[in-house]
Formats: sequence, structure tokens, C-alpha cells
Amino acid sequence: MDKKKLQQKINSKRSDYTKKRRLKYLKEKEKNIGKPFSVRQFENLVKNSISKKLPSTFSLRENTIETIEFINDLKELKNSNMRIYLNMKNVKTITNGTIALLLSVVNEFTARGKKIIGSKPKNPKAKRVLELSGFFDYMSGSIEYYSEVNSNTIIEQSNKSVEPQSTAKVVSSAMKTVTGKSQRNKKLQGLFIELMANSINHGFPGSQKKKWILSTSHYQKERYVSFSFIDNGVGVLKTLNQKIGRQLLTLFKGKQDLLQSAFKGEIGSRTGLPFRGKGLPFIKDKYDTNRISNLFILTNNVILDYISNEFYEIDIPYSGTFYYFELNSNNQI
Amino acid sequence: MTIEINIARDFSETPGARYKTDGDFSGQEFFENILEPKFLSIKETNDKLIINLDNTAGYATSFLDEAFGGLARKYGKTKVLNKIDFISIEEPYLIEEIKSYMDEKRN
Repeated sequence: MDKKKLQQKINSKRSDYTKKRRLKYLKEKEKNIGKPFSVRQFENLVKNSISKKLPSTFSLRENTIETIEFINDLKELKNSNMRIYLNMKNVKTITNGTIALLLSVVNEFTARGKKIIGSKPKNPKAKRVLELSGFFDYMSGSIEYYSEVNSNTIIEQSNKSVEPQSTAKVVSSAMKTVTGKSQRNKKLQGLFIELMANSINHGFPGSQKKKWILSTSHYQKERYVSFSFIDNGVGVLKTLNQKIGRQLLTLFKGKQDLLQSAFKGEIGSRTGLPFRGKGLPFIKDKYDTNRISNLFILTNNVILDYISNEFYEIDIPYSGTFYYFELNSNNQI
Repeated sequence: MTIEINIARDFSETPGARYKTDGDFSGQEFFENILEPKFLSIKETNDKLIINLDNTAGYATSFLDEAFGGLARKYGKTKVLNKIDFISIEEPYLIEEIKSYMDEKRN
């Protein structure tokens, strides 16, 4: 091929490439006609992010494995430098407890300076739950669009300490929703202190990155309040394993038996060890004595679901501890 | 004569957890700053110490254990109970609970 023909061929290829790019640009432009600048800006952000699609049923109780898998996958991205896009468009069911769980990871990311953006569910009910939860207020990046909704959820979080003053306010406000009057509830306050102390003292051995999150959702009409308490520490079972030792662990029929024993305060009597842990039995006692309702606990790969009285192991690990419970007008207050 | 420690008034309406490292208003802080000094001030006298547990937001077991269990472990349960009385109108069962912590041994 002579030089002239070669040059013609190159020019023709260049021209094709330019045409294709031009066409692509025009198509994009056409697609964007009528879209507000904020929407186009958001779409550009999405393009340059790692996209994580939430399961359509994002609930620890109704879709345990998929929900935990999602949380674990998300946690894996903590060292990535890229922005994360939480695609919630197809979410149909989402619960406050799981929102709090997601928030605990989002918080870890934002603490590292990572940007998180998200889209809202198409499903009106799921969208409403998310908006009411106040979740979007805690995102460090943008959300698809913003609407002013009064949040029914209050989120308390703390680094490194037990904060009785904060939880006293949470308790008083919960009592107002349930009884119509702001007042103390000593048992509930004691319960929160135990949860915080357990998290701080046992959840993060050797680490300074101690953090707990308490999410409180108020249901005025139904007169009940739901609480989710989360830490992303090592989990109760891992702590118990270390304290008890491999040999004595054989005294228990599996992990759920060990965990149930800890919540019943039976570890000392079953192992003969001087076990002074009163915090976990205190928590369970508040459920047994009807001070709280609908207790659900997930730690490591064990679930204690006192709502349906099911206690079982799951196939995937979860690092941390998640408590869900409610205060309602049927509780002894 | 009796000397009263009203925890809500003299220490905090929101007592915390066990150790100072746990956060504000811990059992250890109460023990070191208020309970033990007051106990020592009446230990060799005919006076009694009254602990009023009412009007707080609520107690964690770790707070009570560290403060009162700690005092009994250091000075002996009998000596402590001879010098201390408790008032708890709001949660009377707390008194027995505290006494049970005084029985516990620590390694």
C-alpha cells in the first residue's frame, strides 16, 4: 500500500471515530434534555462510583443471608478510594433496624473521608421508611433528589464511651411516645448503659476505633418505639470463645447454646469459671420481665430471635453485634 | 448522726457504667470521689451513712457492683453493712441486688 492510500485509510478511520464520538455525545445530550442540572450531576457521580445494589428485601429478619452478605460486601470496600453508590431503586422492603445497620457501615466510611451517594427506592413504602428514618441526612455525598420529611428516627452515636446523659434523653422521649408523658424508665436506661458498656469493653479488644450506634424510631400512632443498637466490633461470641477457651467450649451444644447461656447468665455455673458478666443477663432479663418486647440479637453467625423463639446459626459470618427491641404500651413501665 | 449521700444530687442523675475509662459518671468515679471518702470519714465513729438511690435516670449493674461491691471487697461486707443503710423507694429490689454484689469474690 502506498503512502497516499495509507493516509486516506487513517483519515477515514479518524473520521469514523470522530463521528461515533459525536453521535454518542448527541445521544447523551438528547437523553439529558429536560433533566435538571442536579440530576445530570448526580448521574455523572454514579458513573464514577462503585455501584452496590441493595437486596429488594433489605431486612435482617425476612432476608437474613442476603442482607448480611450485602453488609459484608460493603464492608470489604472500606479500603477502596472510590466513591460508593448505594443503589436502592429496587428495594421493596426495608426495616429501621437494617437501616441502622447500613448506617453503621456508612459512618465508618465517612469517618475515613469516603463519599457515599445513594438513590431512593421506587417503592413508595420503602422510600417512605428510608426518608422517615433520616438515613439520607447521614450520607456524605449526594442523594438522587431530596425531599423534606420530618424524621421519626433519632440516631445517637458515640466514639469510645458510655453516654448515660444521651440515653436518658432517648429514654424520656421514648416514654413520651408510649405513655404520652416524658418520664424516666430506669430499667431501659440501665439496659442502654449495659449495651454501651458491653460494646466499649468487649467489642473492640486492642482497638481505639470503638463506636456504637443507637437508632430510635418513634411510631406515634401505634404508641411504640423501636431501638436498634449496633457495634461493628468483634462480636459477643468471639469474646466468649476467647474467655472460655477451646476445651470448655465443648460443654456447649453449639454456638447458639453458648450464646443463649451467656444471656441467661449460666456460663459460670456451666463452666465453673468465675464469670462475672452481668450485662448480657441484664439485657435478657428486661425481655423476660416484659420491660421490652420483640428482642432480636445477631452476633457473629448466630441469631437469637426471641420474637419467634428461634435460635440458629447462619452460613455466613457477621462481625459485630446487632440488637433490636421495642418499647410499647403493653410493657411493664 | 447520719450522713446522707444522695446519688442524684451529690454525684449525677445519670450514673454510668463501671470504669472511668467507660465514660462519665462511672461506678469507679463515684467510689473514689464520694463513697470511699465518706465511708472512711465515719468508719471509726458512731455515725451511719445513708445512701439514697432514688431520682436518678437508672443504674447499670456494673455501676452498683463497682461502687458498693467494691467497697465490700475492700473493707468487708459486714463492716460495710454495719455502717451503711440504703434508701430506694423507687426501686426497692435494688437494695438486695447491691447486697448480692457484696457477696461476690474477685480474683
